[in-house]
Amino acid sequence: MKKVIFFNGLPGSGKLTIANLLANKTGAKVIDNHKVNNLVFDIKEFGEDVPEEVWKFTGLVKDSLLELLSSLKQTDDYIFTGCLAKPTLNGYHRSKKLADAIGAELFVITLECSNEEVLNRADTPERRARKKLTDIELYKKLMETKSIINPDLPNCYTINNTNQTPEETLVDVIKILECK
Amino acid sequence: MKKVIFFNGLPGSGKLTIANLLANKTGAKVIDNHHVNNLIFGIKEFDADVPSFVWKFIDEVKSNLYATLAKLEQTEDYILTGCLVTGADPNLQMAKDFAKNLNAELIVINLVCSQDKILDRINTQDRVNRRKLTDIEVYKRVIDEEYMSFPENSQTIDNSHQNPLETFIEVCKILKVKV
Repeated sequence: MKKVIFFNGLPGSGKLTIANLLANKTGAKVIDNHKVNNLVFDIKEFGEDVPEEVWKFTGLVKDSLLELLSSLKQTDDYIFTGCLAKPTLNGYHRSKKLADAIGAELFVITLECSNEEVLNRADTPERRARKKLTDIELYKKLMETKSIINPDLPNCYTINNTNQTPEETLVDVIKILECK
Repeated sequence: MKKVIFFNGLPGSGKLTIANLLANKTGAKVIDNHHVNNLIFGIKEFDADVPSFVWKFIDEVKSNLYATLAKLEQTEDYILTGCLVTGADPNLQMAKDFAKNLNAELIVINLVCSQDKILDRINTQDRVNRRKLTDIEVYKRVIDEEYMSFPENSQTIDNSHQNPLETFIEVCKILKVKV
């Protein structure tokens, strides 16, 4: 059965790293949150204060991209990355919609990591190039204000990767996906 | 006055190369056609046979992107690239609307280049990475002399016998940018 996998976690928790490792192994297509965001972030920099109309635009594009993918002939698994936090779980709903449309099973895997370890990983050239969060002060603020949600739904799992290498986390992920 | 510069040309005619040179010089922001195309081409490959509803998706995203950017505080010039095709191509109107919303002047520069030069340039690793057309057979099948359209009031540079720097200098003359 085809799979749609959503990696959920705060910035720096390793979502894209694990997504790319899994994609290399399985051939799944990665749609990380920055794929759409960078349509704007590659052109304009905002720091902390991303204007509301930018998020409105990226939300619309994410919806229509999902609609487009749903309508194409599918042979692929998909991997999404994002940060599920209240008040909305848009990322989850979008992945669910795609999974339903293409007859795939949805897995949500939340990556947890200690604040200390996230801050160690926070600022790398790769993250800068991908226009990801690299500002330590902003990380700290996020950690205080944002709490990640692991939805209370079927096929939702959590991996704490604080003391793991990416390869070890990948092994955990594959175990989860193969159990089914 | 702010400017929106549109480099119009066939695949391999040097649009992005010249756009990047100009951006380095002036600080203008480049939105090349693949900036939006690759949202989907990075996920799905279609070769030359991109279904029309995929182009429709791309056009909608592009038009929304321009509208969103135009709402933000603007200090920059923009450089767009693409190939305006004959027939109903919405990209010229999109560029016009974008410039209007920015209170900027739209300048269309057509880059033309002989086919044998294009075929020499077309298959590079940079182009593969950017998911551009690199297949010479596809190129010959899809693109003929009638493929590209030249909008009214546009200016044309033939760069068949120029290196990028020479073309860049001509572009600067058109735009009255000091080299």
